[in-house]
Amino acid sequence: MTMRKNNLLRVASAVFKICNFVLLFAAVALTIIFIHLQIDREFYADWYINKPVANETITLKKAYGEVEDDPAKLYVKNWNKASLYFTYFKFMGVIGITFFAVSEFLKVIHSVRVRKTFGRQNVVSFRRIGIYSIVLSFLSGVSDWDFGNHHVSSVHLDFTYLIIALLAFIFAEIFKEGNQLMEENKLTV
Amino acid sequence: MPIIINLDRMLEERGMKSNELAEIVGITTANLSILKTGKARAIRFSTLEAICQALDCQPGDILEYVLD
Repeated sequence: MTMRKNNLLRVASAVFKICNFVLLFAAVALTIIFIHLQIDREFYADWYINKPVANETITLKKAYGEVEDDPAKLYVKNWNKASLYFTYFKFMGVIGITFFAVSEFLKVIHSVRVRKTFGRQNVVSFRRIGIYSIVLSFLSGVSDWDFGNHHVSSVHLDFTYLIIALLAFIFAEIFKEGNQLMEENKLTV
Repeated sequence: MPIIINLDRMLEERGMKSNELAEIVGITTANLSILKTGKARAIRFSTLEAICQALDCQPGDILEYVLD
């Protein structure tokens, strides 16, 4: 039996599906660039990223005109191979885990729509989201940027993900209680 | 669980079948089976009342407490 039309759930479901599509697209695009970079490094001679500062979004940019050695710009051509591989696999890990976490949340939304809100699966889903968030907090906190003249390795914990993990585990417990109540109700004659 | 359901014995004594009782009481045969096999976690007073009425017995004839 499906629920009567619930616009909030429909919108949330659509948004998360788009999120997953964007994540997949990002993974494919990153992989293509990563492979192409191995084959033709010169193609990226004028591509750079700004020196990463804590909490700043990292954006890959392309310089036009004469390429100067700007110390604030880290040129892709100078990217140390080990650091490049590390960064690629780190981002792929972050994308992959985020994809799985969003997929779990989509499962929860679907279960509410088909009126299986307090099924055992949702407890499992929230626990998985919690574990994924803990992994993400560690994974997103490690970085290694080595561009020859600029080498920074750092490790920090991202508390936003840890708070999400805590909330997910709390939700798992709430849904576990709900599941027990549902089972008891089902076995009441 | 230390609560035993003696529905089988009562049905046998009254010469009644499970599906007949289920129909009279107004519950599904699946739910009556849950009750008979001791899988039920709770029983509503309304169900107990209907069973007692159908079998012409007391709640104590159906439910029994046995020490584990």
